[in-house]
Amino acid sequence: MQKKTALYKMIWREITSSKARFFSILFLILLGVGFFAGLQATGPNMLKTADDYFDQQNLYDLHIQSNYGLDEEEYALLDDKEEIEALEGHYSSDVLFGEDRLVIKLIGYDEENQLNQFRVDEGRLPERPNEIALDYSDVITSQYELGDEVMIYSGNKDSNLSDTVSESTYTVVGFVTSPRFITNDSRGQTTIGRGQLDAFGVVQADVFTLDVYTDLFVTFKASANQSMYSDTYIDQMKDYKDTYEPALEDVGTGRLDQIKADAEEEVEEGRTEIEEAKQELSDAEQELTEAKTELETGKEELELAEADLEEAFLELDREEQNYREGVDTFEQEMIKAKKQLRDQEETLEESEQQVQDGLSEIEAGLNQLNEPFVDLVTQETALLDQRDQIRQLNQQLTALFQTPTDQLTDGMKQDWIDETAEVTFNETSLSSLLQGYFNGTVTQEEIKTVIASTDASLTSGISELRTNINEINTQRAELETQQQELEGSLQEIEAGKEALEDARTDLNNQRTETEQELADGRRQLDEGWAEYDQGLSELEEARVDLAQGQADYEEGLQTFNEERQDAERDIEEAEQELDDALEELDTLEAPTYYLTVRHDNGQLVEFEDNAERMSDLATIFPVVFFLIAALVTLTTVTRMIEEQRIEMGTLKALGYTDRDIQKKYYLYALSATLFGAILGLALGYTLLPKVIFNAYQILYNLPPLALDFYWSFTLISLAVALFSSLVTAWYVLRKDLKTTPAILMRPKAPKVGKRILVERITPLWRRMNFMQKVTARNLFRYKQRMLMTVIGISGCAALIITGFGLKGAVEGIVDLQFGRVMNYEAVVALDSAASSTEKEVYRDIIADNETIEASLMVYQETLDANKSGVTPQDVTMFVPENPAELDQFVQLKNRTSAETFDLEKDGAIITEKLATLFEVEKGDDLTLTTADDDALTVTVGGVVENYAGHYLYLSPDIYESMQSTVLEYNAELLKYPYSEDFEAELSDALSDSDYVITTSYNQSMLNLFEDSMESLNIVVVVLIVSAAGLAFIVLYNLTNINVSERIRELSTIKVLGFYDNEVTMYIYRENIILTLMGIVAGGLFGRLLHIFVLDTASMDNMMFNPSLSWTSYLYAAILTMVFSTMVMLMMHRKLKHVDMIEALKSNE
Amino acid sequence: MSYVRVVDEFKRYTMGENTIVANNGISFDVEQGQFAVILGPSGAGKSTVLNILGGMDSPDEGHIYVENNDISQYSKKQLTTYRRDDVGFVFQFYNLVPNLTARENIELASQISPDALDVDEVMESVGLTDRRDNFPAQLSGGEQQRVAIARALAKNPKLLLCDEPTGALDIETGKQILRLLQKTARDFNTTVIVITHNGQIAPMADRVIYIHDAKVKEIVENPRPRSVDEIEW
Ligand SMILES: Nc1ncnc2c1ncn2[C@@H]1O[C@H](COP(=O)(O)OP(=O)(O)OP(=O)(O)O)[C@@H](O)[C@H]1O
Ligand SMILES: [Mg+2]
Repeated sequence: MQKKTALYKMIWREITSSKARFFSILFLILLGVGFFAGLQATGPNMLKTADDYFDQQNLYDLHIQSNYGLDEEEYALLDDKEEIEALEGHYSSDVLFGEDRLVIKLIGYDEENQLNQFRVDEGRLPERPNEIALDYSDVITSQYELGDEVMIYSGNKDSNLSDTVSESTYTVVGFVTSPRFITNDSRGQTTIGRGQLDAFGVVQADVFTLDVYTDLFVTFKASANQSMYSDTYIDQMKDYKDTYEPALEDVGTGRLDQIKADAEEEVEEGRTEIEEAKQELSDAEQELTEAKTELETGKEELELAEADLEEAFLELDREEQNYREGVDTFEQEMIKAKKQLRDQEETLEESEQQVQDGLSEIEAGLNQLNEPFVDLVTQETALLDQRDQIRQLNQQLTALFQTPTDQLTDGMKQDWIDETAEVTFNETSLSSLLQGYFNGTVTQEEIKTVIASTDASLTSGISELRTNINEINTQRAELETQQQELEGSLQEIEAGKEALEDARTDLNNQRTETEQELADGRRQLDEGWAEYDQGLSELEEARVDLAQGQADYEEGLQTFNEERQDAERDIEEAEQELDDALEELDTLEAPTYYLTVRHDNGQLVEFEDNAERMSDLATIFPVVFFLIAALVTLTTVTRMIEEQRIEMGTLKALGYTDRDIQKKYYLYALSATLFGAILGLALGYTLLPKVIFNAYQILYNLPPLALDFYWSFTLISLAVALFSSLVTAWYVLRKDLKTTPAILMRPKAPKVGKRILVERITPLWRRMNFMQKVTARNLFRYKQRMLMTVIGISGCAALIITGFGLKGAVEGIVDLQFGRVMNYEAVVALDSAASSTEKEVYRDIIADNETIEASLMVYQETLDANKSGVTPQDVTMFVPENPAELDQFVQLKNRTSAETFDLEKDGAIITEKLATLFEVEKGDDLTLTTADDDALTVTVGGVVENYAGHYLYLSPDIYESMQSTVLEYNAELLKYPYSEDFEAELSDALSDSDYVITTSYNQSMLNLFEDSMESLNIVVVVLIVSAAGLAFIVLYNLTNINVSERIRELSTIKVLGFYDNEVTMYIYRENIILTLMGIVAGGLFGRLLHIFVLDTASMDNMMFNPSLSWTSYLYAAILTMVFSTMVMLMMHRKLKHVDMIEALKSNE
Repeated sequence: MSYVRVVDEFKRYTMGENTIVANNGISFDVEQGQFAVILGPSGAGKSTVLNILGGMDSPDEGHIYVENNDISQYSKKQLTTYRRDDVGFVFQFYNLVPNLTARENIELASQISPDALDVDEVMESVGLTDRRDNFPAQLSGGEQQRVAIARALAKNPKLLLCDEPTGALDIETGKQILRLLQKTARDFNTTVIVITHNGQIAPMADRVIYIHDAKVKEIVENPRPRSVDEIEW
């Protein structure tokens, strides 16, 4: 136990102290094992994935079709079979679809169906009659979305869509994948359109109106536990197919009788129908005659009504006249009465005016009197007042005069003066008189006289006034009497007026009454007119109706006359048809049955081929890989053991057994190998198949890869890995351990210097400088390692070259095919059943287009090439109208001999890959199968260069000599300088033409093609990356060994004063030369590998460009040099830190 | 000023926890054209000081002057240049490149040296003209060591350092080698420093430096060095 732990410790120390070496062994093994196991597993994984998928979707084992469809009889026959697991009848039909008239296979789907289950990628399957689920392929998904409305059209001019399906418009409800079609681009052949199906669509089975099934699908109990790629499965299915075919044919004979009976019955029915049609025709004639009579009656009635209306008009007119007259009379009378009234009124008003005037005069007179009367009275009053004043003053003065003047006080005097200041008498005032009196100038008497005379004049004035007043009063009385008289006459006038008013009122009343009467009369008259108008318009309508009736009748008559001819012709034709049908029935043959098993489906077989091709690739590449890995591992282990001779010798001298000593190395090698192998297996089994399969998923509609583990590959890779490390270890150890410890402990003599070959070539040797000589000598000193390095590098370079070469080959196809081989840009598929006008229109479109350089009518058909041991191939046949022109559109040149062919002369020309696959040469016969299952045998007149697809070019003479049918050209090749805009324009113009079914453009094929080539590119990238990785590890490892082996030498030159880069170059100069040699050798080796790989990787319908571009070599050289430089930089770092003293110390 | 001056030089090696002092304050001088011998027991630190002197290692402390240049301060690159231009080194185990002939081994050094001597002349001076095209494996030990010396001399170094050049040789051959070295110092005015265990060689030297226990124990000046042939051993 103790010993063991010491041993493990030693191993652990060994590993940690030489990490680089341990991991380089580990990685080499990892790469080798991973690459080998991964690539090997890819093919089987792919097949398993497909097989699982088919099992899951319950893909048919046997598919039966017949040109008569399949009826209860066939179904019943199979239903009885013990070995059948499931049997289902399905409906399908090939139709045109959407605006582009894609050719699709319409498949009926029923929820109950178990077989060929669809995988729903988006949306759902149809649940209603007018729903459709479409193919989940680029062609469809690039144009349609869920919810789109789409139309389908009959693919055949002679048949109606409704004969097959009840609906023509559908809503897209889903996108699905069918296990029947696993590739993304091909859906098989058809007899309509271009002959190639574009896609499929799924509708409810109920939508089909067919009487019989179109397909019967069968699965067998025996297939349940078998891989469909196993030989037992294939054989068993073939057996079933072979037994069922005759059995079905027996049933078919019975069906033919039934069909005949049914047909005869139908003919009878047809006859009845014809009779009915005839009857219908005469019925129609009868109806027309009746209509005519009715029209006549109507006309007479109309005329009568017209006369009535005329009379009514005259009557109304008369009454209108009367009415007008009445109104006039009334108006005149009214005017007269009104005038009378107005005259009377005027007279009255005149007399009233006169009276009023009189009254006014009197008034004025009275007023005139008033003023003088008042004046007089006022004067009288004033005179009376004056007289009273004077008499009163007189009395007071008398009292004053009685008192002597001197007795009177001055005050009293003044009061008297003041009070009498205003009393005046003719120019003299009393006060001045009194003044005079007081002053004594005036006497009392004088004053008394003055007063008395004033009194007298006043009294006489008063009496005069009284006389005047009386006179006025008399005048006034007179006037008042006159006034009263006038007022009396005024009253009389008023009375007259009232009488007049009454008369007016009477007149008005009378007028209202009359007017009322007149209005009534008017209304009646209006009603009368309205009635008349009504009558008039009714009459008009009746007239229009009658005219319409007449027109209808005439039209009916015309139609009838026309249709009668058609109908009579139809009837005649139908009768003819019935006769023909009866005749045809006699020539009718029994139904033909087409039985296909899974392996008759080219797509499934192609997939198998692809998977197997992967396995082929998986053999050669990993072997190269593994070989390199093993060689380098061997070198590494050898070196490791050699480095430790002393340790081994010492252990041996100490008495350890050989076994103990070996154990360490075995365990070291084993652990590096095992870890590397396990990691490699884990990565290889998961990563590589997935990466590669992902690439294939561009081509195939398959579920994600089913990963699997394979004991065989695991064991093989483990065995090789262990062999390359353990056996090397064993071999080297055995040799070393045989020698004595003494010898072991002495360092193994450094490799003895020797003259090398180059030195013998003296002139060359002399011309080399010192360092070149040293390098040359060193190169040949370690021959084994030199060889190893060259092999390793050349292997990696070869892998890289092959990788790039494969990429170039794949990419080259596109350029060569569309650049060199096919010189036309588009193929227009034409409907030969189109009318001549439609054809004319199309011809004009092409002829008028100035961009189109040339066009060529061809007959195009897809043929089948079959041969046992070869996968069936689709071959496109072109029969050009003008064979001499074909070489303008397609290059007709042999690739190797550069011989050019002429279709006119050589008759039948096939493409290279087809010739290779079917092993035919110029002069041999090749038999192909047409879509109608006829054989077509041609003598090959030439084999031409072609990279994608298979073509047969045939001259019309030969074709017609072999086929009974007349050659009808159904396609045209167009040649024009490509531009995206022009193509869009062209496609627009062509889509309007009814002659054109569809146009396929090489540019879009090219795009599709490039997509599918992507898949191979990924494989190539995997290859290049792995090879580059390997190259790096190989270089690193070998350089590392070289350095450690020569560390003493390197230290010596370091001591001698070599600078760091000189030291690195001292050793790396050799590496550069080895790398260059490796690249050169790799170029040669890579070329061979490339040819081999192209051969195995090639697809049946594709030929790779076998030439290898110089760029592939260049890339490989550059990559290898880059890795070499990287390794050099790493070594440079390492050498810089070498301890020279340590290295030179002992004599090791 | 002496041509070579080692001043208070220390070199320590740390091995995990304990430190080994290989040179513990070593100081000595050697004059130009002198033939100096370093003597001392195994593990004394002779090789260490010689390696430092040869520019293959640097001291931890102290200074080393060669022709008044302090090489202890040199960068790695400068040290390489110093080795390339100024130093010739002879090892106990010759360290010839096995894949090169005798002449080529010498050329290896002369190719990179600025004032290299003519290869053939050097070969003649070490008496190997006949063996010029032989590979090391075809030569005896003495012949190999002579090739090694020739390789060192071909550079025309200012300093020739030899670490036990006679250690792997028999007495007679060893003498031959020593004679060659002494002659070199005389004829080319090259400063030669030789490490040896053999104390009997001491009288040959112009100066003998005794190193013991990582220190210089004694330096003995020899006013009249004897020739090899005068020495008995
Ligand atoms: N790289 C190294 N690492 C650790 N210790 C070292 C190293 N080189 C030398 N030594 C130690 O330094 C001391 C001096 O060694 P040196 O080689 O100089 O001795 P020497 O005098 O040359 O001995 P000898 O005569 O045996 O060659 C010794 O003890 C040695 O173990
Ligand atoms: Mg020593």
